[in-house]
Amino acid sequence: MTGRNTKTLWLALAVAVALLWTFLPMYWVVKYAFMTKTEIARFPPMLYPPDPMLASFFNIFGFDYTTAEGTVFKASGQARQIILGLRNSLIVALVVTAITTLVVVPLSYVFARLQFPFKGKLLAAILLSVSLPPVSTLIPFYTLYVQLGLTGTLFGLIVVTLTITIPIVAWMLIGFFRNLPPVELLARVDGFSRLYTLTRIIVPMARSGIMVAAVIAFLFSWNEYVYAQILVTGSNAVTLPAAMSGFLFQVPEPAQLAASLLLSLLPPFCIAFFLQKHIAEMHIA
Amino acid sequence: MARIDLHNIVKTYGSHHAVENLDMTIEDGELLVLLGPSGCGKSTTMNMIAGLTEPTSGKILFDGADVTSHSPHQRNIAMVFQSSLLYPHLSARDNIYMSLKRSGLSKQEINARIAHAAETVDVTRLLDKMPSQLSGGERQRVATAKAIVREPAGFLLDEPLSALDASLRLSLRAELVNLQKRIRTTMIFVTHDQVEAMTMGDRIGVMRKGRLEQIGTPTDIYNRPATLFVAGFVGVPPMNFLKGALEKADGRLWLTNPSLKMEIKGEFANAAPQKEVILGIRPHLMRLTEAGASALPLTVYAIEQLGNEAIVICDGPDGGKIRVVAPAGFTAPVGARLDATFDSAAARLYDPASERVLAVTGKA
Repeated sequence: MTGRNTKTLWLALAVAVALLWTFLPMYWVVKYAFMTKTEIARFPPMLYPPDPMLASFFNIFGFDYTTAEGTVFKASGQARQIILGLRNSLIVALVVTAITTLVVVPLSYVFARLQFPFKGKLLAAILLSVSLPPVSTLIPFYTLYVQLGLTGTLFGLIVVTLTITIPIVAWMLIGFFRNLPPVELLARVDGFSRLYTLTRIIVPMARSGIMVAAVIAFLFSWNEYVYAQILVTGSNAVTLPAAMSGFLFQVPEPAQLAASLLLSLLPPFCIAFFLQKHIAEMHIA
Repeated sequence: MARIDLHNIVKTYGSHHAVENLDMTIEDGELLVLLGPSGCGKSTTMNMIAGLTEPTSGKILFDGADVTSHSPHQRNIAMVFQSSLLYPHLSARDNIYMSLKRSGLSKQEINARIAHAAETVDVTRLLDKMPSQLSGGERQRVATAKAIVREPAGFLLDEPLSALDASLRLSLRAELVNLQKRIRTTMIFVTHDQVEAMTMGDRIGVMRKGRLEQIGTPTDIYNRPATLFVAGFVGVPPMNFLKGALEKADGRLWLTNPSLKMEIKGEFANAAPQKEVILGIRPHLMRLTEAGASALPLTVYAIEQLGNEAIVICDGPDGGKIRVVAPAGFTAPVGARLDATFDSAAARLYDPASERVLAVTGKA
């Protein structure tokens, strides 16, 4: 065997390990979603669903499911929470994405392209809030929210989620804006105002970066669990991750938990799929 | 088209003096090259002429009117930036169109102007391409079209060719000069490349550390450099320098140093004697000769064959390198002893303290 072939072999092996590492746990969840409780409890574990069925997906939306043989799978007790959670998660994620993008585009532009006093210190402040673990602000937020009556509200959750998304997305976009060519010079010679330059030249130029930033904001909001668990669990403002965690405190329903997990994976998966091109562009820039 | 006057322009950034007390006039329709090493203030000067940077003090006049506080657009200047910057997300046509978007011209007039500008620099067939699809030379042409479409008062170029490869640079240089002569726009070209400056400029302004060292025609700058810096910066191979003393004897002026005693003739014959001077002589004006009293003893260090001539690089008597142009094919072993001579009337004398050429009063 030549040296080159050995190298290819090792590379293939490394890729295989990486794929297995990433996809095996996901596969396990996918598998559960299509199995019955008894099948899941079997030892040694079954490598694939012997008789794939969709019962869990009906159950989590509050429907009973009857198989051809007449077995009935009862609707999940968590169904109301799941449906609410799905709706709330979407609302929160969309609102957070919109606000984050609107705030962060001008903010990052200013930090990336203009000079002003205390810029370095303000930038360090943004960086600091990125590195702050959410848990550290959890208790202060909670006491504040209790006093303000904001616990269990979508508004409160949106505000808190923005404190996570704005710094991290700004941090990303600042780097992206820095790498754009200095077209402001061209724009000044062409007689355009600063606002026109930002909205009509920079934004279209940076649209792939901005789109990726919006996606990141959406995903952070969609995946946010810690604040939701403390601030909105059990209320009408519950989000999907918090609603799913409800499965952990009841009679175990691993198939339903897996089905709702798959449900929560769906939007991020679709987004990643449709935005591949832009994400790739972002890495080049 | 406009005549551009700079009056006592100063630009400081904090305690750093980017440009100091600059006075300069660029005649209507002239191609002026600003030449200097990086950080000499040439780009800052151009940005102030453009209106992109405001001078700390001083005045800028276009055709006699004070435009110091005017925006680039109000001054009606056009500019080509480094690497021929274009809007990356717009086609060549839209890039050119952006120059006229704020002009208030009719759609028809705009289209006619774009077509004319594109034709002038031969980019008509590129108009629908994106900048990323253009080669370096094509980008440069589109950037030029974007500039001339405005029919500007002044056309400013900031090292537009520096990112291109050598052969392309050569042809674009000629293209730009040809264009400038055809449209007769006042053009200012910034570069650190002295060959570019010599070949393109009607006049060259040599800058160093924020000061204008000398301004004049390429011939003037080459033959009569006003300062040691200009003498050393312009010309390939660079000028040779020899240290010595100026002494009067027998009513004549002599340059003496431990290895040379040479009568100074020509324009410096009446210079005042002084202890230390630096004599500058172009390598082309030196000849290799037999050893003699007025010859300079040299040791061969390396020989560069250029095909039409050879450049003999030698260690001079006072440690510095001396270059002598010899006929093509000239060879000598490294370390060989040679002698060189030159006509002192062709040499320039500089004061090492002020770094300026010696003052001469009266005629030789």
